[in-house]
Amino acid sequence: MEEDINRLIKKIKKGDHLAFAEVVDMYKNGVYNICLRMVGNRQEAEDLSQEAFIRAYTKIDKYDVERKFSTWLYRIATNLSIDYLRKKKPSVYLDADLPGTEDFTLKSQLADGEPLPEESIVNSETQALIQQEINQLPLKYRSAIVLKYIQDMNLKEISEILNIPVGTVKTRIHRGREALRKRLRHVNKG
Amino acid sequence: MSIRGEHHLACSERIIQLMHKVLDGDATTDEEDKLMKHIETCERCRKHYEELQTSTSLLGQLPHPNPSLGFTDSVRMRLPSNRKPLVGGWFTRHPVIVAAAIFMILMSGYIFSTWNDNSFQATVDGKGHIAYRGNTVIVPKDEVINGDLIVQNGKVKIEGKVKGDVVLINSQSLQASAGHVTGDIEQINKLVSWVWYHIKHFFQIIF
Repeated sequence: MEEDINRLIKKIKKGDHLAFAEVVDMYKNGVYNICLRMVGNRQEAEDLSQEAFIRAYTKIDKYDVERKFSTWLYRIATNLSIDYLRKKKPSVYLDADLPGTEDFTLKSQLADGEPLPEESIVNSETQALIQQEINQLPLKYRSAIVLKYIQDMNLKEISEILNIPVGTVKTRIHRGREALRKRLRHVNKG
Repeated sequence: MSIRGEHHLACSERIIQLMHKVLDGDATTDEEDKLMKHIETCERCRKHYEELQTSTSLLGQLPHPNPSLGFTDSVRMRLPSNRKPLVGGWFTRHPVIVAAAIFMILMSGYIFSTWNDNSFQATVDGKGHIAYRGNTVIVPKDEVINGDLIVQNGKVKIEGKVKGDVVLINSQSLQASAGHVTGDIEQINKLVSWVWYHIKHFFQIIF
């Protein structure tokens, strides 16, 4: 896999669009889900993911082949999402929190009829509720929590993606977990 | 608050730290046993630990939907066509050098073309009248030129006054003393000084 990606990157550096399309197909789910859980909206996540890939393409010369490609790419996606949320006006936040909006997002999600992973047993209302609570987390905690529990990454990788020490990652995850505990304690599984 | 309650607060800080250690997978078997033993007897800590477990397992159960079907194509459409060649990259990385080089090329082209122009020419950069006799420029007696006199490929005879510089380009002065010219008499007979004169003049115009 790592060898594959290095072979593709050599082609991309020469301007090979098809090679880059292969990379997009390999990582689009990961990039998209980071953005989706960070911003909590499908359309915005789609736009941000495209932006992340285009940025990766134009900055491919800056990618250090010695390091893991996914770490570099997820870092671009995470930073873009954080920048986007910081620039987003508070009024837009309010719109996103209006009752019904989440539900709408969710319905369009289900209408696409995409196969959901089998372990996904929480119903749609619960999913919307969880996302709503993620949206309430401060960005520092949110990014660490999303990488850990949505992308299932280890602390070392998260520290590289967020460019902070492992100890700080732990603190952020602990605080994020505590905040979610208070908010999600009344949610029934399933 | 009861004594029992205070006891809980005292233990909880340590125990909560331990809970996170266990959840991070950093705890030893002993530490894990210690937590399990504690939550068997402490109702509040057990609840706290269960709530942490519930919330993280809920996060883990969120679906991982795919982006739209046309996602990869949309990205491909938006990719910049053909990455810039090496030279193009160099040019965009050093805009100042490129601008300076272009300036030098245009400037030198202009200067050389005027140097190669061997025709006789005299101009007054200011106010005043001059007379001609063949290739000789004459500033008549009693005439005062308020400005610079520039003569190219000819001769100059100053009988009146020039309140400014006299610039002689490939030219010579037949009669000019300090009394006749208030400014400098500048003699330009070499290409280098010709270039220098133009550059100096150019910057005087700008600043």
